[in-house]
Parts: sequence; structure tokens; C-alpha cells
Amino acid sequence: MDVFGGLAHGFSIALTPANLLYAAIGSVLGTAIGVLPGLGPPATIALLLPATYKIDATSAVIMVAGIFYGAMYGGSTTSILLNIPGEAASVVTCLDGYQMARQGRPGAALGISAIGSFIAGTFGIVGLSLLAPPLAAFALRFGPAEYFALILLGLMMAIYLSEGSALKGLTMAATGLILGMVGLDPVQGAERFTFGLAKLTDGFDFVVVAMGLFGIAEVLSNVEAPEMRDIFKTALKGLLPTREDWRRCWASVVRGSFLGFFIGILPGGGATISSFMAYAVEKRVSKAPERFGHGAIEGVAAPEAANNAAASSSFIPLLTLGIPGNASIAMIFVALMIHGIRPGPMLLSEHPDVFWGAIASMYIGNVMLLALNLPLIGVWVKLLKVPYNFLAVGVLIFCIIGAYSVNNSAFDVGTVVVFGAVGYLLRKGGFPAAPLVLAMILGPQLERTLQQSLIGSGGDLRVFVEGPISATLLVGAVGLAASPALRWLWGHCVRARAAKTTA
Amino acid sequence: MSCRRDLAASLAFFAVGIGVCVGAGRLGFGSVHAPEPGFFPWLGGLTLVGLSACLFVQALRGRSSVTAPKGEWLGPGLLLGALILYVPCLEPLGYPVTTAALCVVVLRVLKTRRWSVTLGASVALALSTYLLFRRVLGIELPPGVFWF
Repeated sequence: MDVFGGLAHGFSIALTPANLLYAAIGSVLGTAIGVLPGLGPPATIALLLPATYKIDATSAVIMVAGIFYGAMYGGSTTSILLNIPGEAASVVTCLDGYQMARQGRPGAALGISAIGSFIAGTFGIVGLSLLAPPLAAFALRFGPAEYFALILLGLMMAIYLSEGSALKGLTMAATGLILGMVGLDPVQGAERFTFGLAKLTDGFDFVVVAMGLFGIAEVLSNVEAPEMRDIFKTALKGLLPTREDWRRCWASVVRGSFLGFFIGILPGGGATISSFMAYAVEKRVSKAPERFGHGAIEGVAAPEAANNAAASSSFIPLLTLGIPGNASIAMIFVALMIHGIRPGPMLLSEHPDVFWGAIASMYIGNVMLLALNLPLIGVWVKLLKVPYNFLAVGVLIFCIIGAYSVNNSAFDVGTVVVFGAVGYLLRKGGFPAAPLVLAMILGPQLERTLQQSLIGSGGDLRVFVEGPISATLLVGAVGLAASPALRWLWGHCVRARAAKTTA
Repeated sequence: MSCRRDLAASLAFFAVGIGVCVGAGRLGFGSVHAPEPGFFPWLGGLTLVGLSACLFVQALRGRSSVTAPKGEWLGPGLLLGALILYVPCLEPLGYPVTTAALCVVVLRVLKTRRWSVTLGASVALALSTYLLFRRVLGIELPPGVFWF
């Protein structure tokens, strides 16, 4: 099936009334959680995963994908009107978006954000449609050694590009790998670290762990420091950018789209980094960089375009290689696994309905989001008046019901509470949760491919460096893993040289 | 303060890493030619021990990357305590009763001013979600003292 044939097949699936409904539910929920500070896409997807048990895989992916890219649209609203980012990817939009609102142009800021997001999102999906099939075909050549090296590189990039200290990211990834080992050994079937508990034989359920780490931990953190919401009171008019606005920012949207698309493909790249980089690039190429931070419309257009393009392109490693690059995509990975579908190069040939249906639904969802965000902006602003008390109670109830519904057991509710407490403490210590979840998901695959490679080569470690693909990937992974130590050594040398020169 | 947090965290991770290595030893490492179930956990445990040692050294040198501000512990502590109590009570007392009690604690911790709002909202949320998930969506939530 070629790209156009695939897309036609995908649209025939995505345009059924049921799937249109799921795309609409995902887009609305995504926009809502994007608008509401204090609840991110990974937490929302984790909370809603139990609701996807009874629907088919394609519809489930259509809905959860809608939540993810919908959140990118909604996140800018709070950044512009409250100076509080709804999402991490919208932090940088606060800088100029809120200033535009203060200068009486919140409509233009919201308008360019929505239109820029639509253009970039569509660009990202076109790129995804064109790049994913050849990449999946290429990945079919991979053996266990190549896969081992690829997963290792993916994990390292996710850690390296995640927020905060690389050392803490690595520690989280090692912890995630260990948590992923609980249960039966994937090759020999021996029980590991179950402490005699029959309920741990299948290991920790990803949904329960994610709900604890993202849902309950988020509520506990917000209880500690409740947000003060002060909506900027001004008339929301003039949502369509003027000709002058367009002249200023069309190139920013284009640059943001390209940058976001390529950063989104990298594991760990994602929407947040791309939005910061797009802002930095715009400031650097601008003839009047002093306008940035004081209401420059390019400072809103570029990061919003970048985070939406990145949200679309971050599906590429998931759908073609089976590597989730960030926490939200990891939750989509889990949604597929729940339905017995393993993302990766075989997804296109074994489940073309899921592959093309999900991609086609993104085109539709993107149009839905534009329609939802511009005319209904007043509704989203009113949503901000929902007191956090009730939102927090809702999140806790969803976590409890979601955990209980996995096995109809209070044991899973206990697990979600334990991981909630752990997640809260990790946040307090500045340890990022995303590498832990990614490593926990990828750990069993990493172990399986390592054992298969070693058994297949008779224990010859050269199997990892003989092939050009695995050797290149492994060099990249080792380089990234060693980078904190290399940076420390370099800094040490520079300081020593400076001290010698001063003496 | 931040470095003390990192020191405590590094010690906790170190203990976990050692525990995993010991557990992996009991499972058997095998060899590179024929790895056994303990091989990969041993690698993971050893990596965690190494990383926590680096973290410990970094914290001792007074370098910390903690950015989370020092906050108030009472609210999260109370909420966590309520959640911990909730787990053993869920099946014997049932979802509606335990969830209503949990909601009361959460709403009070989050400074809902009026008791009437707190109690009314808690009972309404617990009963409505129970009926929605059990009756409409077919999720077998424990009824406890409720017969429906």
C-alpha cells in the first residue's frame, strides 16, 4: 500500500461516525487539560486508559492521540491570559503572549497561536505520513543487536534531552529498568522480585504506575502549592491576525514548524524543547530582538508552531520503531499494548487500520481543534473558573477507579498510592519521572534483545559492533551516557588550566 | 537543604541497587554465553549503585540540581495519610463510603471553606461515580455496606 492508498484507507476508517466521535472527545479533552494548569497529557491519558479497554484499538489510539495533540493547542490559552503555562510546552509562550494580552491584544495572540498550531500540526502530519512508511520498511532489516542498540540510544536521548540533571535522569532510567524486571523473566519465565506475591507475577501494570507517578503525584504537588488564578480581564476580540501580524510572523511559523518537526522525531526531543529552541532561533534571526519579551507576535507564533509540529512528528519513532520518545507517547504505546498491538516496524503491515487510521484521524483532529479553539475560546476561559479542589478530587477518583478496574483488586489501588507517594518525593528531589516510565516500558524489550543477541552469537560481544547500524547506534548511546562525565572532566581541565594561569 | 535531599535520595537508590544485586545473585547470573534470569537485574542493580554513588559525591561537594521549592508538607502529608488509610478500607467498607470520606479530607485539605459544600460534594461525587462506573460502565467497584 503506497502513502496515498494508505491515507485513503485511513480516512475511510477515521471518518466513521464512531471514530469521528472519539477524535472529537480526544480533542476536547486534550484542549481542556491543556487549558487547565496542573494536569498534563501523560496524567490524563493514563487516567483515561481504563476507559479504552472496551473499545477497539484504532478508536483507542485515535482518542488518546487527540488528547496529546489537543493539549498542545490548549496550553497556550493559559499562557496568554494568565501568564501560567497550561503545559510545559507552552512555558515560553507566556513571555510574549501575556505581554500582548496586557497591551490589549489577547485575541491576536490566541488567534496566531491557534492558526500557527494548525499550520504546523498539519505540516507535521504530512511529514509523518511521508516519512513513517519508508522508515518502518528500513527498520525491518534490524536484528536483535540493532534493536538493542536502538533502544539504548532512544533511552539515552530521552534522558539527555529531558529536563534537569542528566545524572538524575540516568538514575531514574536505571530504576525504571529494574521496575520493568519485576515479574516473569521474558526469556526463561523465572519469577523475579515478586516477594512471593502472586499479583506481581505479571509485573507492575504500566497504567497503574503511570497514574501514580503522573496523576496522584501531580495532585500532591499542587496541594503543596495551590495556584492563584487571575484571569486577564479584557475583551477577546480580533482573533484573526492582521496583515501586519502575518507579515511579521509567517516566516516564524515556517521555521517553528521545521524545527519542531525534526526535534520531535528525536526520542526525548518532544514539544517542550522544540518550543524553547524555536523561541531562541526567532530572537536570534530577528532584526529587533529587543521586542522579544515585550509582546512580539513572532515570540508566540514560533514556539506554538514548533510544539505542535513536534507533537505530530513524535509519533514517527513510536509507529515505525516502537520507541516512545516521551511520557505522553509512552502512554499511547501502553494503549496499543493493552489491545495486544506492539508498535514497531511490523505495525504497518500487521495492523494497517491502526497505523493509517491514527494518522488520518490527526488530519481530522487538527481541523477540529482549529474549529474548537478559535470560536469557543470564551468557553475555555470559563473552564479556568472551575476550582482546583474539585479537579483534584476528580483526578484522585479517576486514579482509584482506573487502578481498581485493572484487576478488580485493592492491591492495585495500593500500588497507585505507593507510586503516587514515590512520584511526589521524586519531584521534590528534582528527579524526572519520564525516563523511569520509558525505561520501564522499554526494559523488557532491551533485555529480550540483549539475551537474543548474546545467545545467537554464542556470547560474542562483537555482535553489537560488527554491523554498521548497531555499531553507530551504540557509539551514540555510549557517547550520550558518558557525556556528563566528559563534561565534568572538561570543566575540571579548564578550571585547572585557569588556576595555573592565574598562579 | 537541596544537597541533603540529594544525599538522602542517593542513599535510598544505593540501598535499592544493592538489594537488586543481592536478589539477582540468588536468581543466578549465568554467563555471557548463556545468561540466566539474574544477569540483566544484576547489570541494572550495578548501574544503579554506580549512579547513586556519583549522586552522593555530587551532593557531598554541595552541587545539587534540585529546583523544586521548599513547600508545605502538612497538606500532602494529610492527603497521603488519607490515601493510605483508604486502601485497606476500600473492600470491607465499600467504594461509596470510603470515597466520600476521602473526598471530605481532600476538599478540607484544599481549603474548601463551607462544611455543607464539602459534605454535599463528597457524597454526591462518591455516589454519582459509583453509579456511573458500576451501573453504566460495568466496573465492579466494591459495594461494601451498600447492597446495590
